[in-house]
Amino acid sequence: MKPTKNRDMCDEQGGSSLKKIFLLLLCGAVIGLVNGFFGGGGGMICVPLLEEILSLPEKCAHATALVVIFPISFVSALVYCLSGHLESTSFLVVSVGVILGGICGSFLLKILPEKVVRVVFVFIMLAGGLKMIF
Amino acid sequence: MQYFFYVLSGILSGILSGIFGGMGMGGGTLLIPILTIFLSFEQKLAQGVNLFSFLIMSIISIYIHYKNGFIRAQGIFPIVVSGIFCDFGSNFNGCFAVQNLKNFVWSFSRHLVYYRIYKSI
Repeated sequence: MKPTKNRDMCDEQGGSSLKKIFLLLLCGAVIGLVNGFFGGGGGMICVPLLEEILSLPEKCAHATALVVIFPISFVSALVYCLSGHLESTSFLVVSVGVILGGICGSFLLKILPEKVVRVVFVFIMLAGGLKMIF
Repeated sequence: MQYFFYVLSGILSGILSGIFGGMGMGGGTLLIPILTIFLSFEQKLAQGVNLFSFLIMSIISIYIHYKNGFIRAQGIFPIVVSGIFCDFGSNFNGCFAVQNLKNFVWSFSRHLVYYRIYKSI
């Protein structure tokens, strides 16, 4: 199965100036801090930054945010595991659900119109932000 | 019976947050509060469970997104490098004011909403 035509609309941008690299490094620092302290949620910050700095279309930004956050979460997960914040039963139970949901979500991103993705994301972002102050 | 409900609620909360996680919308933002509030997980345990289940899910998700042509990884290298560095550091830095970071996330999300509304007008 070959990647479909959506790839074309993601391949418009190229080239990277020094300012852009500096901005990207700064974003990475913020994402890393948030992900490390709260054990997740870095991807949420990552999406709008990817959209603005790398000018990615909405859906590409969401998908690419997963690629960005994967290695960062891997480091977090290792540290959490080494400090004993993991329990096999609860992990197995929850991850079965998360994997099933993740597969549904991946297909949903393709199906849903961009406008719906945008509105849903704004609401989740607002909920995530509100949770921080309460 | 109690165990059955535990497993069922765990799987259901996983599915709910997985749907958003798979769409790249921050499944952890939903999963951690669900686990701590409704399933009375300890905060750190909920965070650890979230991170590990995300890792497995994201491998499958990234594969599907790649096949759909949504992945555009060119230029993300600087984010990943500084992200890993700060993430690693944050786990060992006890004196950093977490409240500041919480305020930052709140202000970030608030301003994003303003910006989105402004852009759509």
